[in-house]
Amino acid sequence: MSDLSGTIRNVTLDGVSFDVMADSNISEVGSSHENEMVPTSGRNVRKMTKRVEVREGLVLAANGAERELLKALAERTDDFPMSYQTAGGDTYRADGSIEFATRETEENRAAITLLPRATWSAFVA
Amino acid sequence: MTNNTISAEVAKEQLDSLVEYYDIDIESDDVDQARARQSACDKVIRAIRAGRLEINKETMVVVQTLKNDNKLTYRELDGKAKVEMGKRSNDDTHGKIYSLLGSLSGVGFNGITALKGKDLTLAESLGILFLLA
Repeated sequence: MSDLSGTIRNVTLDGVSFDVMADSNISEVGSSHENEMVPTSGRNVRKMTKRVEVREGLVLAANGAERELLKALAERTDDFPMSYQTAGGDTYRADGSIEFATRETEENRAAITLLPRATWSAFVA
Repeated sequence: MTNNTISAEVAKEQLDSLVEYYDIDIESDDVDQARARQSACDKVIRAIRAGRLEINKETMVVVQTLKNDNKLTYRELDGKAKVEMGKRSNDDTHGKIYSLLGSLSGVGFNGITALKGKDLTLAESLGILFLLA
């Protein structure tokens, strides 16, 4: 895996590829559980709470047709395959759904969040 | 030497089910085309026999097992995947294949272009068959 960072190379949702805004910065939830330590009078008690490994902050370039595609995907009731590739060439994939928050027409920027049903897996060719 | 886990008959059955389902024309009047298509079929059969490829005759889902044991699952061919091909220029056959396979597998164009060696060769062979569909 490369240590190169920067623009997301591509995003594929349900087999359809989308262009990603160059300044898009995906915020990746680090792991499947949130870790805490609960203090006691003796040893602290470890607490692990399951959480969704969302990928927030993804901004796609979406014209009118792509906007409708994203809307349809967000309104689907079944999971579909999602993947994204980082600047360093690492590809992550999962089945799940998306939250389509907004599209800003000034630059056709569509803000979405990737919501995996389970966990993301790194695809290594 | 490859240890074949699947018989030649079963492998051919799987390929034939794909060819029949998509009405793929393996024959061609052009000798080079015919040779390329047959070569793709031979590679697919070899891969099925070696356990690197499996075609589900009911669902038309194709699973490719890579060298590192990762799997690529190609869903049934649909219009979405063909539209992805349209994003490549007409003379970019490899690009079209990679876009098609990237869509069908969900890993995208770049995921397929990262394949190497036998994994890439097999994916391309599969892509040639899908292109004919």
